[in-house]
Amino acid sequence: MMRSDVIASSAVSWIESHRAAAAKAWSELPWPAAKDPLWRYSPPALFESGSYAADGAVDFAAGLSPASERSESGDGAYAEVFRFIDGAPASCCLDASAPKGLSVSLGAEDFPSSAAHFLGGPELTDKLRSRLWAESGPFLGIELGAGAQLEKPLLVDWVDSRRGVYASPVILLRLGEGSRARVIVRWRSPRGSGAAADILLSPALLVEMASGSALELFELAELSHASRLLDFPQAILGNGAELSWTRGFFGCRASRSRLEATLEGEGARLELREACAAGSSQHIELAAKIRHVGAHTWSRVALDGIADGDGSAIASGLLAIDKTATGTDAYLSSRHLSLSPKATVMSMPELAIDTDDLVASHGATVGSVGPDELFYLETRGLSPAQAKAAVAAALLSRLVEKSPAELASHVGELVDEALHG
Amino acid sequence: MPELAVDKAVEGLGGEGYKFGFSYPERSVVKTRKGLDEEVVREISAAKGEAPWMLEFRLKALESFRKMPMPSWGADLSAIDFDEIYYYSKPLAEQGESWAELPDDIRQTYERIGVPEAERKFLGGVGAQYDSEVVYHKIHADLEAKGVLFMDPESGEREHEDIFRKYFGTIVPPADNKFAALNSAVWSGGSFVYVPKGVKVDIPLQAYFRINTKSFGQFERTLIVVDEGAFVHYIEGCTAPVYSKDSLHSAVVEIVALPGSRVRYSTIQNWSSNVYNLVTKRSKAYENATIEWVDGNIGSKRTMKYPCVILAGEGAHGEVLSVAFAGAGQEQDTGGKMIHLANNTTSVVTSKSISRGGGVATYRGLVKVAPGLTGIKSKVECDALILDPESKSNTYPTMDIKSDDVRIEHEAKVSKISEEELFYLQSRGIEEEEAAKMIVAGFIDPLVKELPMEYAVELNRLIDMSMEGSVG
Repeated sequence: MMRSDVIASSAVSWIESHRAAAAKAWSELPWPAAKDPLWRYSPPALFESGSYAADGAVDFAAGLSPASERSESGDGAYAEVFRFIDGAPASCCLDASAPKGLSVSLGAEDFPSSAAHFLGGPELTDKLRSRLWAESGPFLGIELGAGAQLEKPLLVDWVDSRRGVYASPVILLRLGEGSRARVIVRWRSPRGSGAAADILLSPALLVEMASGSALELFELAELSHASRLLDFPQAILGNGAELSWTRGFFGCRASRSRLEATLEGEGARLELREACAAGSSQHIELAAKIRHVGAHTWSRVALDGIADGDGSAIASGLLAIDKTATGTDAYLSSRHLSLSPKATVMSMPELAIDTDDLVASHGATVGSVGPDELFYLETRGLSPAQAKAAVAAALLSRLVEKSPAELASHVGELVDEALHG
Repeated sequence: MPELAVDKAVEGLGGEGYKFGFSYPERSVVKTRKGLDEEVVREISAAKGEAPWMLEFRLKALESFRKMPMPSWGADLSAIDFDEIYYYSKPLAEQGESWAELPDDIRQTYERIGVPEAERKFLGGVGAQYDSEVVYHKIHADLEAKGVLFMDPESGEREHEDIFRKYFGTIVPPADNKFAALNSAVWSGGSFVYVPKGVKVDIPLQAYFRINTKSFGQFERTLIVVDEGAFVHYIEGCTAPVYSKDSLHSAVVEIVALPGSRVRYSTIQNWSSNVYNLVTKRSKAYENATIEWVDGNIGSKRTMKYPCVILAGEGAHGEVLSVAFAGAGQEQDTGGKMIHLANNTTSVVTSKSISRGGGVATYRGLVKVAPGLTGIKSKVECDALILDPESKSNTYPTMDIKSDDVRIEHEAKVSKISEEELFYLQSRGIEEEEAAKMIVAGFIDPLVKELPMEYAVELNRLIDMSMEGSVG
């Protein structure tokens, strides 16, 4: 059953109308063909969502625990923790200890209607995306008031060990003028029980940044090996806003992320790093479209990937520079390592330029661990496998370097696991 | 930074300054009616008196053409009306043995373009196609004595069926894409080249394609087979009159480079601004063979062309060197494809594009490596210059790699002529416009260096002309 039917009574009219339009698109659109330009690089069958049931209504009142009762160790390192366990909010501090300037809305009822511009629209031509909006929820809105500055990071933690469930959380991060924050978003299956989990997670992380705001966003996907991730993050940057966004992808049977960031305001700056490690029978497609609209905008995009066994690592990045984006400076880099003769690497670094006053460039490499590198490392006592892993780890070092201190060692472990099986 | 001003001299090369836009009254001894159906295809085949297998080939291709959709990507082709085109027009009953034998209008056409002069000065052989048929074909006697074949493909099919039929339609099958299917159904004229084992053809062979008729479709077919250890440089040039109605040029070029051979195929495409240029060019390189495409796209209304090398034998090497100039009303959608199917194969793609006056220059390319190969190297470099805010530049490369012993590199850069470069040159007393021309000349230098001197001079002159008044 569709979520829109389950919670049709939510009485939030703007969300309901989006859900209805999306549900219509979902039911009317044909299943994408392999030749569909949107699905050229990921077989749609990998995300066949019919077998995953909607996760049903969420009781937002139950399960919330005040900060004082947080049980999991390490949460104290964060200014605030928003944890969802199996789709239901389990930790969300809305009490007096909430940091100044932070306001939170949980559930569709209080979700800011001004975020409607992220929803619906032309993307409803994509059948799988239309399901996200048709069944959208739970909703979490995190807003930082003008000038607010958080010392500690915020953590959004989605922990899922369910089987056969489709989940499409919608998370809005809105930063007011001149505010600054660090946010960590995790999509994960609990360790140990992870092998049993089998979900199709289709989240929408929406980032809206007002003038002069700054956000350091770190996102880590580490779902179970049976699960699938179909991700549609979006960001809009206002005048002089600065977004540093690092994303790591591990684990899943199949992941497909289509990120869209729009540098709308003058002088907006984006630094985006995405990295993945696709082991045997894993398929990871990272697509990023960066649109420069404002004058004097700046972007640096790095898409890195490793494919091992018969895994596939696919990266497509598009720097689209509008006519209005004079004085743009944009660079896209894509680096891939293929560690096995059966692995697949695809890299599509694209530029679409509509102005003459700019510098836009990209560089892409696809390579293997060369005999010289292997020899050098072997003479220092590493086995060929260790040497290969060391070179591969170096490729993923941008991800490890940008990991927040709270997660650095964990990210290191994920890289190790991915490279040593 | 001074404003980049609107042109005063030329609206793009295919536009007002186009010096090959003249035309003579139409002439034809056979001309099919407007539009395309089975009857028209049969009529073309009958006019050529060709073998039954070729008619069958054409009819099958016509079926594929009807079934295949128009490409959903690339340049805007929505204005092409296939029913408004003449698909075959034979200008003369017989090919000329010498330029003097040709009727005045045809001879004057080629003289104005400069083909006979080039033949005298530095070519080993010349083919001249006027609308649908080759009107003149000649090869140096010493090359002929070495067994080099250079003729129109109809003669190739009749006189050397053993070689011709073995390779014809194998590199670009009729159902490869809609325009290859169209060409296969109605093809006429072009070149057939065969270079025997070990023969090096030191001076280039050239084919020159001219459209004279209004609303015309030219569908020539080129097949080049270079035997083991041999070498040939083949040059192709093309122009057309400026008419208010659009014409269509849809060629198929197939090159087979047998082990150890080397082929260079150079094109200076300078169609008038009313020509849709939708061409399929593909080659296959066997063991240790080298294939180089040197591709200059200056003219046409829309061009979609991605020369391809299939690296089928160990040690084969492929190169594409492409320069595109997109002026007002032009869309140059060009690039290169390298398909690595054997170990230790290498490829290089260098693309340079310039867009101005609202023109759109797009690089579209593919590097593909088949599963499990070793020792693969490929490098793709795309540079684009945008000369004004109305113009566009796109880069769409794809790297599809299914092997681990590879080294693939891709780089692209889009920018305008930098203020610093202009300032540097101006501070040394060079006029601004001259300085901009020098920068553009430096930008396309890698291509110019690879062309025979006479062509390099011509290309530089064309670019120079198109830059006239672009800075001010």
